[in-house]
Amino acid sequence: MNDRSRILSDTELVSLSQGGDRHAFGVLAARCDGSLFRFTRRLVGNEEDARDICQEAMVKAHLNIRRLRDPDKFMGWLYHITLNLARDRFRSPRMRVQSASLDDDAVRSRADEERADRDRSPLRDAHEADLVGTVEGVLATLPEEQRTAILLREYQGFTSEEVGEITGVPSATVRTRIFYGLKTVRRRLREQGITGSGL
Amino acid sequence: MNNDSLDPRRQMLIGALYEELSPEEMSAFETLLEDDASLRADWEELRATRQVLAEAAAVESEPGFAFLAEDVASPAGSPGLFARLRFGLRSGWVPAWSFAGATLVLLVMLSAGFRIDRVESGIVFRFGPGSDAPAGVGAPPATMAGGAETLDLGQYAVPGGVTAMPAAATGDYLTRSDLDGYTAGVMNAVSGLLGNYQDEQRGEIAFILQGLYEQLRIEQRRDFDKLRARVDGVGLGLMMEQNRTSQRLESLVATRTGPEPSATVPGPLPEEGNHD
Repeated sequence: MNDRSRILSDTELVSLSQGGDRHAFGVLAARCDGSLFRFTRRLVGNEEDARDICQEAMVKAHLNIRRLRDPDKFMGWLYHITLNLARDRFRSPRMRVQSASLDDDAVRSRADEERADRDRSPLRDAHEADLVGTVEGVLATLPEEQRTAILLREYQGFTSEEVGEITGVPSATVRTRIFYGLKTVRRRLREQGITGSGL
Repeated sequence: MNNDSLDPRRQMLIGALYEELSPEEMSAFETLLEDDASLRADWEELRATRQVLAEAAAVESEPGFAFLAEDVASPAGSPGLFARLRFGLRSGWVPAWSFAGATLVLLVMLSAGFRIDRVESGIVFRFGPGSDAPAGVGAPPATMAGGAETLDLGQYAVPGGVTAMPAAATGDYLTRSDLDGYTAGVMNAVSGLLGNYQDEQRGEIAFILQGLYEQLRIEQRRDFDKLRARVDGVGLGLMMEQNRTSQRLESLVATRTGPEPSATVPGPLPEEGNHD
């Protein structure tokens, strides 16, 4: 990475990438691959599929970046590609079975797995591991459109308008999905024994 | 649950929750909040839920993924996997290699003495040294006769399901329909060979790509584990250092304040301002 890449904005990097600068796209990818992976992992529920989807999304973005009219909207566009790829996977029989099997028992078992995974680290606090596993498990039980809206708004920091653009629905629908999604999350967190103040 | 209909006040609630309202809208929402107990209850609940989500996100482990961009993934001077893939897609090298392979096959066939002979029953493909003896009518599809392998298109259904027509009984002359039949047979045989060759190529490419991808995945996982172990090691070291510092501090405090007074034989209380 050279000095130039440190001072360029995302928009400038997108413009350079559109002009054929592959290094610029590499820098851009390095800036966003972590958050994109976190989003995808929460969306599809496992790291293997998330890794495949992210890699494919990045390759698609790189190959098609010249078609992006507004460089300011690169992030939304990238998440849109990722979401479509994830949805394709959801449509596959394997993922449908996986998705359908995520009932409350599955949530508990997922939380246990997350806990076991994180407890391997001697420094990880058990309460934190419980919390992360439970929250991810609860999010996984939401309908796909509610989960997507919450993940994009809550964790990725897109506005409701931007989430609407990414998912192809009006912002009012996004807010509705977030409202009902958060309500469900709250109820299930209480069922899982997470009792923060106000819950 | 209808995802597309929501009370406008709840719409405002979500807007306020994520700080998307203008100052005027926020002020109107606060007024609503004061007047509507159920809205207030929703507000508190959703705020608390968001807080839990944020807490979980704050302690989440680092992601184990990095995009394998060619500038990052490959050493200087060698094209990355991504570049190779893209090159393959753009340049259409798979068909090019197929044609090259077909040419090679034809060269090998010529060097092996491949030729086409006309016989009474139709046309024969021969390998090996030439023989004046005509191939027998009704010979099996591939036979060794006099050291030469014979493939008789008159008997053999070539790939593609088309069977070459036997030569018409026109004596020594080759008619147009005969020639068309032989041409079709030869073309089918060649296209069959090409098809097989392309299938082989595709299988090999898929296998190579799968291997590369597996290797990359293993590398990513190993790097992630290494990094995590390092972070844990540093953390553990810090914790030990903290413990040592605490112990030193305690011993220092104990040295400064003197030995603990015995429970059975109480010593005299130190006078104030006489610690030095």
